[in-house]
Amino acid sequence: MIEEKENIVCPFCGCLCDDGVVKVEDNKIVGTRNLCRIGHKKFESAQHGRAESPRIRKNGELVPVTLEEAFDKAAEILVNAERPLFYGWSATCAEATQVGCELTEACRGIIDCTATICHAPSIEAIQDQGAPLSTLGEVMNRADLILYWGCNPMHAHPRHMSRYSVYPRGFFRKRGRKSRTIMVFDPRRTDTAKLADLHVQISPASDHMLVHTFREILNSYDVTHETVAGIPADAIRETMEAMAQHQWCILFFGMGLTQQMGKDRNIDVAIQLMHELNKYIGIRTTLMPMRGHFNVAGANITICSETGYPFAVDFSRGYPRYLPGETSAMDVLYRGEVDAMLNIGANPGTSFSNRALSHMAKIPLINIEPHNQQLLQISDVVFSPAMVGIECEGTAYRMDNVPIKLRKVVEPPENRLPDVVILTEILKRVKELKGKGA
Amino acid sequence: MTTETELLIKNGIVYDPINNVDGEVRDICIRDGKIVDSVSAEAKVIDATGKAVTPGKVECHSHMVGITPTSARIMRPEDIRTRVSASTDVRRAGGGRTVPNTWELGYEYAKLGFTRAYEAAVTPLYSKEAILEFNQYPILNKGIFTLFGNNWFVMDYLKSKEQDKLTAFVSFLLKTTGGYAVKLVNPGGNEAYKWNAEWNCHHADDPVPHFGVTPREIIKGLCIANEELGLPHSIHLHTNMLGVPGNYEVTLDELNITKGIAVGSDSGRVQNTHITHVQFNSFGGDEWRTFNSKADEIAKYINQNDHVTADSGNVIYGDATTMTADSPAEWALYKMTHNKLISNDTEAEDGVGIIPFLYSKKSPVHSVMWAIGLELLLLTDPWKMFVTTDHPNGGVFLDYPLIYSWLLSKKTRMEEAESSHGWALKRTGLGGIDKEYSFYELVIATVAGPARSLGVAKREGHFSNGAAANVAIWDINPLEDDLSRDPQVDKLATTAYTIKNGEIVVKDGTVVSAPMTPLDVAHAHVDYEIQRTVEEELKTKFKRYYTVQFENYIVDPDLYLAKSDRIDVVSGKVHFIPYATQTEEAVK
Repeated sequence: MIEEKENIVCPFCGCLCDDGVVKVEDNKIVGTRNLCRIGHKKFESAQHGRAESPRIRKNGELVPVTLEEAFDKAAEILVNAERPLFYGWSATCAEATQVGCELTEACRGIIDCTATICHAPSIEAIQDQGAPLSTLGEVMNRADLILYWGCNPMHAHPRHMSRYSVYPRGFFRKRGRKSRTIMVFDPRRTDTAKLADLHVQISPASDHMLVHTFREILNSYDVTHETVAGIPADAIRETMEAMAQHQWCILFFGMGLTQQMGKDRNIDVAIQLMHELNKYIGIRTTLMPMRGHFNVAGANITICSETGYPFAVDFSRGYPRYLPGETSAMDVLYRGEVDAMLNIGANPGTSFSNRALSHMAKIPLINIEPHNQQLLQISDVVFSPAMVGIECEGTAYRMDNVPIKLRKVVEPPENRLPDVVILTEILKRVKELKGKGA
Repeated sequence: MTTETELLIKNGIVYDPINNVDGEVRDICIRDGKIVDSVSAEAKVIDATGKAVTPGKVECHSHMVGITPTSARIMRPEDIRTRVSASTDVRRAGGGRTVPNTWELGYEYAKLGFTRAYEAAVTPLYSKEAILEFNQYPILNKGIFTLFGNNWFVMDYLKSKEQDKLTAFVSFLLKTTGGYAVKLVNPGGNEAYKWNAEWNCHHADDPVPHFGVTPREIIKGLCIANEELGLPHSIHLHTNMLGVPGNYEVTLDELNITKGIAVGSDSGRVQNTHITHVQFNSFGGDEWRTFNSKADEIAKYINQNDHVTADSGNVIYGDATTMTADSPAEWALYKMTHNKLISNDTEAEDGVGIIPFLYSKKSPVHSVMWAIGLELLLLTDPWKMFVTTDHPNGGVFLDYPLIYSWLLSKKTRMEEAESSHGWALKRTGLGGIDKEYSFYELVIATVAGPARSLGVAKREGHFSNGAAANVAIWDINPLEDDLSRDPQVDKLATTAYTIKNGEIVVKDGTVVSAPMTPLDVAHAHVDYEIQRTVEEELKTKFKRYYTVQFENYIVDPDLYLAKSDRIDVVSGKVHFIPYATQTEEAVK
């Protein structure tokens, strides 16, 4: 009999839609309702293509072993390492990250999350300027002007517009889409841009100049150039005037802004623009980064409450140090300092540069990942855990930092333990081995 | 948690204000984490000869966990760098002054002799995060004050004048989001701010946009709900117009609202309203140029009226991180300083603002604020006015010993006043106050008063038989040393011993053991019928107000609150159910 499980949270993107319905028959996921195509696929294919668990590389081959042996081997690798890196944390739960912080501390290693290669510039800009933020419900209920800058939610966060920003009927915006104005700033004519009331097609890598021009106009300076970022100055002025006609505005920005030339400086001026709109025009403005992984916001929050710093935390001296550009994952890999690595809830196999991967291939690599991913080819210890949000519970943080409990939908396959349990077992053994050494 | 071993604290100079013990040489006996009459000869002995022995201190208002402090941590890596601690066998690593990580907070509070602390403001939507962080917060018992002051459901029920449903809603929200007490921050004002950064509720009768209810109605409605439920703590009120010159009139007006509402709890408290960090609400003058202290007016009101207790919210010169759910106040600070501001508006609930701030001795206004905090403490009955800095708004909790020294010694206080800007003495009455706290009064204002006000005095905060064995032993002899000549700040800063539930956690300023301790959650029972009606109504409205599902909004008790002490309140009677017995119940 098919059982329908309701209010299921989708563990895919930062939208963390929590109204999913998953159809389960005989512990098999057979279908979903309410979710987007990506979310549907996540649930549908969760039980297929799972890595065998656990395995250790012996004579160049990954060989199945018992859990005990794999835990021992992982602990041994970590204890023998001088500068282990604990990377990922974005596709696992906050509870696992808490254990991860303790493990990093016990091994005197470095902990970093995937934000280091996506929204870290946003965090650095917040450290410069603060930020006017809000939750997605505020957008739904109040926003009448929505700006998407350097992001394409139609493809990356498919339900973002329908659930939170553009289409829903909010408490004070009863006519849904008709109550709102949408502006998209993107060099490409994306599917999101096609839906917008105004698509500002800026020339690539000139975001910083355009935001600054908005600020110039707002602060009553003359715009001396005829065109900025490929847009005529008059058009920019008119856009600013159009923005000022609204009551409540939100800026959603993506990697088009954070990983573009200028990086954190782009966000820096964007935040200043938002503060100034609040201050001078009296429209309420907020902004929100479009976080990618379902729990990348949670990785930052959890690492921060545990260690004091949001990412790239180095425990080599026994106390936490934070020096992005020096202790961030990419940099320690580039310098070849890392002599062991644990990867969990991320796939650096597709997102890291060749230079970083070539160093990772040289060092012992522990990989906690449910599926057969590219990184397995260079992993030395592989755990296939129960998938959080599908096969076990945990907490994840939405892109607006709202914590939501991920639910368990089906029983995990045999020998698949939750991330928390795997990390706790490794931690226990690390502590034992360290105790012996002392 | 509790240890089987027995402990005997010998010959200490005991201060126990709840039992009227003022500096008597006595023995304290502890067995199984509780105070007892006597112990066997095998008991471990701590020689406390010539040392002051007090119950563990209680922090009644501090911002430690939740999205607000964590956003501040993310924003201020420079603060963590100011002091760091490495991990040892006993303790985890950490650091920070104004926004330390959770581990550091637990250890440092314990070193100062604290054994219980309350997080002052948690937005219900974010409560899972606060609980997750509190589960990683060692040594101290803790609880969460849940924000109600701008909640749409509260305003809806007030608008339709359905007090019984409001009461049921308060009970529901506390239970389902792991809260301990009802917190009101700038009632109504934040809802106005969400439309325009310049909007606010400027006095008790300034209506909230769209909802039309006034702060007066919100305060009164929630106070009545609180007393109908009989919750252990009263409403915890942060009044409107915080930080604005001349706001003392609003403060007095809003305090008067709850006068006459009978206390409905048997937790031992006598007040129906606790007004928090009242220093920021005791400003006179019309603008900053005519700014002055009205602490005497506020102190007079609190002394004359038994329905109020307060905490001071002292200012200590130096770096602070202001963080409050009062977004309009933070916005005003932003316009003043242009320092980095985080604001975060939460759907249908409340807002938050965070901004780093430097209190300077050279600033006339800051000097007056520094003096107001001390005036309030010195002029008010210590049973009604407790020492806080509203950490980390007015100052850092690590600097509490400085406040103690200014209270204990007029000489120390005047030295600080004279090195401050001239306004510290010209615009306040501090110079004319000769009062100096005795050590006994200090214990009232840091232990006994808060414990009674928070409704925990039946279980701890004193040395009666059966009370939780939370003890702080100080290397100070108040009987022989003249604290008014030398208040011994360094010795007030670290205990000789801190004992939590009969276990020594701090010895000579070093953490020697760090047990994890439970969270208090209030379960107030209401009539089943009304509870069901309210839940049905919430479910219907929830879809329009929130972007999360009702079922996912509720905090899962198994995942988050498995290790929490339950405070059951049935018709005004408080029953304490420790989590150990809850598991036994479940097994049965």
